[in-house]
Amino acid sequence: MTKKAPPENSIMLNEVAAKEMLAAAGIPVVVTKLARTKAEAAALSREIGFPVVLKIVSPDVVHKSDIGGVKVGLANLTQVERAYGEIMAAVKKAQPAACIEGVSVQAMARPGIEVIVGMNRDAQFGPVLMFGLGGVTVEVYRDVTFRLVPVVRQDAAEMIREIKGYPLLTGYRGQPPADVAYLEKLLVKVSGFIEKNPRIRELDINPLIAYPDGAVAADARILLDA
Amino acid sequence: MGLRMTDSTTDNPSFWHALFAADSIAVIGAKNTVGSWGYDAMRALLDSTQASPSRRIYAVNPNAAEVLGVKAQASVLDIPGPVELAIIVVPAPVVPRVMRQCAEKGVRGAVIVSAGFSEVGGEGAVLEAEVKEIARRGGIRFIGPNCVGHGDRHSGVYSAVVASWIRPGAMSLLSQSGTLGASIIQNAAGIGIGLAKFVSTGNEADLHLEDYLEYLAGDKDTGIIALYIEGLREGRRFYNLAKEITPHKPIVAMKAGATSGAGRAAHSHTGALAGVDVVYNAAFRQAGVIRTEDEEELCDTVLALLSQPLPPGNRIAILTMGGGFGVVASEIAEKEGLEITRLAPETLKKLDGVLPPRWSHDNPVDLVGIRPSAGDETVVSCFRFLMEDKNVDGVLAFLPPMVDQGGVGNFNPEDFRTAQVESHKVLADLNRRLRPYGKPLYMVTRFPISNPKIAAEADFKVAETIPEYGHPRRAARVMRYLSSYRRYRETRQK
Repeated sequence: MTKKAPPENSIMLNEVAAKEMLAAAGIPVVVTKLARTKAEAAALSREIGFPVVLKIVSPDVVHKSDIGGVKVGLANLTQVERAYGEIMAAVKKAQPAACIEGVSVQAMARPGIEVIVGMNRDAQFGPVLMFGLGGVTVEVYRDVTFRLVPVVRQDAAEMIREIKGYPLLTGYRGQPPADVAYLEKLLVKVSGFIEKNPRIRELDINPLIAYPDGAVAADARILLDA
Repeated sequence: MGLRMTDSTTDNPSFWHALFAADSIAVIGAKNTVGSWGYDAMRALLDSTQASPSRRIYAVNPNAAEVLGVKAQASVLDIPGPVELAIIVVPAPVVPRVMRQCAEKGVRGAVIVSAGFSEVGGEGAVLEAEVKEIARRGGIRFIGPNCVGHGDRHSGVYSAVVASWIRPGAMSLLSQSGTLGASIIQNAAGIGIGLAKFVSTGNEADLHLEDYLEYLAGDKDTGIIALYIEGLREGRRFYNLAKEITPHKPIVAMKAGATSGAGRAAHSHTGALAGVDVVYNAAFRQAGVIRTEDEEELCDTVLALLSQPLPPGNRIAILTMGGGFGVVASEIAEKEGLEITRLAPETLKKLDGVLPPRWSHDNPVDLVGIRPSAGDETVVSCFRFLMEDKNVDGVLAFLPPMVDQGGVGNFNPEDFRTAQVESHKVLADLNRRLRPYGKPLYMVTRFPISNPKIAAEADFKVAETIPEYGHPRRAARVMRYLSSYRRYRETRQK
């Protein structure tokens, strides 16, 4: 799938800004802060509490983990400082021309079921909301479904139940289930967020990590009309 | 229905009367050449005026003295009385001049059959814009250009001759392809479905599919709306209209381009996955539009909507006269997402009372070798017992032909026709008796009527009979579509 830098008349919000926008709308996110230097990364990780995750923040890097731009499970200051250096080196090697804003520092989200909630604008039908199994394999399995915005609770309920991976959300083979009612409400909330923000052209909340008692956005990307 | 009327319709609602029930019609480009557009339109209109003798039909052709016995006028302006509807079949470059004359004449509606407009690009697109502007200033609303025409089977106003080949009925059809529209009409006619209105929408230079849809929403002759869609021009409006219509009138749609993907550079996973077709699917599902894969399925679905109640769920009971069909039909039904239901113990007991001891004692209910017809009291009892079962949402049945139709060697069309007529009487009677249960019965028959002539001559009303399908897959798919549609209606009415 082709991924490239945002077109001229648009702005790609970085992860930190995208999460701030979602959080302001009442959508739960993993608290994420931007560090511009190694020292800032160290200070922020102490503030957030270990273990932490570091991710490259660059409008030019779309698949962060593919080029070594993500380091997870960093348990102390030494590991954070080393990871910072490794990320910078890896990104400069893979994409020397990339404009780098810094790295994001965030708490390790506890494991759960990775889903995706996204939005795209269709030329005929306007904004459409997507739900499906998330994570890095989303475009491989394509286990996703769509509805036009605004999405009501009944639409949300149908979306969640019609993906092939739905049994994973109800507790497959002893794994903890997801809070499906919470996900339904969250889809309606994201739909409302999209309606209130007509400048949003594309949105990915991926992964949204679903737990038996809620869900949290571990990563997000928002493309805005300039 | 609370549909918001567009400005165009409130400004000038009389154009709908002109298009579908005009009292005076001019065929511009009328011809005596058999098979030409100008001949076909003239022929269909003249045939239909036998039913409404007050309607005036005029032929316009400067190079002919008469067309099909009607005096030809040099231009629409030479016609003595008023003209409400113009059917335009002249070459594209002549259309602007003809349109100007129509405006001067006070014509309210037009059908531009002629091709050579925006579909060819360049000068064609310029010509189309010119025609549109002349019509706008002259207060004319039009269908087309580049279409096979339209028709109203109840009023007898036609520009598409194919719309006159089918009995009057409750299905209206809007088609973004002329040939597909004709194919759907022929398929529908072959299984006894009747037509209310038909529009081949063409390039939609003026009126869009959404305009016709809004009109059909309030049209009392239209009970079911069938659509063939290639690409909408006002997707959101379509969606909003469909959402208001489907709780009252079913919409059955066939959409081409199911294989087209996103195929563009996206900046997110969502953008990459949101192809045109999945978005259409989303809009259809959310608006309660029944999407079928081809024209045969579309007609199959309409047929069931006309006569059978919507299945309350997806649990199916199968009645068969042999084991093989039961195996095949069960497999197909499961693949279609239907559930082969477990019959209640009371049902098994009731069936024991009417069937020989060797019957299957399970679903499918196999009549194991007894050869009753659909009207046989044993079979009627079986149907009743199955429908009384609270675990059953619908019944699919495969029974032997009701009347001996002769072997291949001594096939006689007359006997066949008699058999079909007889069989429809039996099915209509059965349908009447099963109606109180509120559950559908779909028959699988080796020889469903597939000849419009037989269908017309048999004079059976599809709304009173039981639909027959040539293969269990067709019946199972109809049940899947319609149980989803019923669920949609129930969940959206809360």
